[in-house]
Amino acid sequence: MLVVFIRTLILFLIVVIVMRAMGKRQIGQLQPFELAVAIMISELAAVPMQNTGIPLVNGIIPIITLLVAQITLSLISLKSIKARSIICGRPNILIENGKINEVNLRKELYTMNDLLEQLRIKGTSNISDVEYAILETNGQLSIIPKSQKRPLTPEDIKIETNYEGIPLDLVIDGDVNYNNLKKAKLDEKWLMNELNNCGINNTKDALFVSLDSSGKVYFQKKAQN
Amino acid sequence: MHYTKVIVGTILLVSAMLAFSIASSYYLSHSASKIDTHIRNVEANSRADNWTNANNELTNLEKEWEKSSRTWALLIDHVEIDNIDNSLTRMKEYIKAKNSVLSLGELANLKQYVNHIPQKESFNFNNIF
Repeated sequence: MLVVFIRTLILFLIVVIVMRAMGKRQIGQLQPFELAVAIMISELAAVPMQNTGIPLVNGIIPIITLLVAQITLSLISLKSIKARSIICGRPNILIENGKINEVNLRKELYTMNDLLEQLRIKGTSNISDVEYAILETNGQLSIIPKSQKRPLTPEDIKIETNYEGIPLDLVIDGDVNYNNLKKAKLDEKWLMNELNNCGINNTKDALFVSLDSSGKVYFQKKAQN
Repeated sequence: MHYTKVIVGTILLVSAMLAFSIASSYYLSHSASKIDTHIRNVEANSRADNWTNANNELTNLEKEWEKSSRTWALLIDHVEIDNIDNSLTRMKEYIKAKNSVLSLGELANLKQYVNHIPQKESFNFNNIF
């Protein structure tokens, strides 16, 4: 039992490291070959985990081989457009200028029901509102609505807007993020001053403090247990 | 710069794996041939009904196997190691009983168990497909 426990921990750590090394794309499984790699890795790790008669190396070597193969394919597809279209495929237009492209629908083995279902999932119930629908290489359907049917933007009604950046987290769970403080060209003295104004005397008492692009500080004190 | 790092890392990883595979393959065939030599010595003494020498050679064989089996366990299926262990146990009893027919049969069996490991692990067309 203890042997299985230790082997499981070792393989788990290896799989986590390998998935991490493959990058964020692999976790999102954007492409068919990435999905295949994820399925194979999970299977390869499971077999030596359960069967103590199989050496760990028999599980580790194929996992590392898949890591190398995945990185190599990613690099090739990064460098060459032609290779990318072979490895990942090409996006396919299913609705073009508001008209369903039957040839592409058949090519992708996509039924009308699949198309309508995907449109509904994306929040479009009426097919006549769609200018373009593109089946991406990862199997997702991208929808570009007709200009009259897209949401209104400030630019449409000529309203000037102020710059909006992303809020900076300054304190999370009592820990000060000094990098973000530096990024905002502020210091701990300023932070303490702000916290004192909010009735917090110690950063450890703050659950969350953030600063938005307009200079507004959001804070929440930790609950007293 | 980042791509260079990734490419170099990948090449190093592949090289390490290849080196490990070649080294383990070499180790398996090298240790198997050592064990095989001891088996042949036991066999020669069993054929000549020289049971004292056969026993001494068997002790040497067991020592050699004990040394190798620890590393073998990291590289091959443990069922193979169990087969060799069982065969050795049977052979010990046959030699103790001075039964040449059974001990020679078991020796042939043991030789097959040991020698097919490097063949099974070697890099060739049959093993790939």
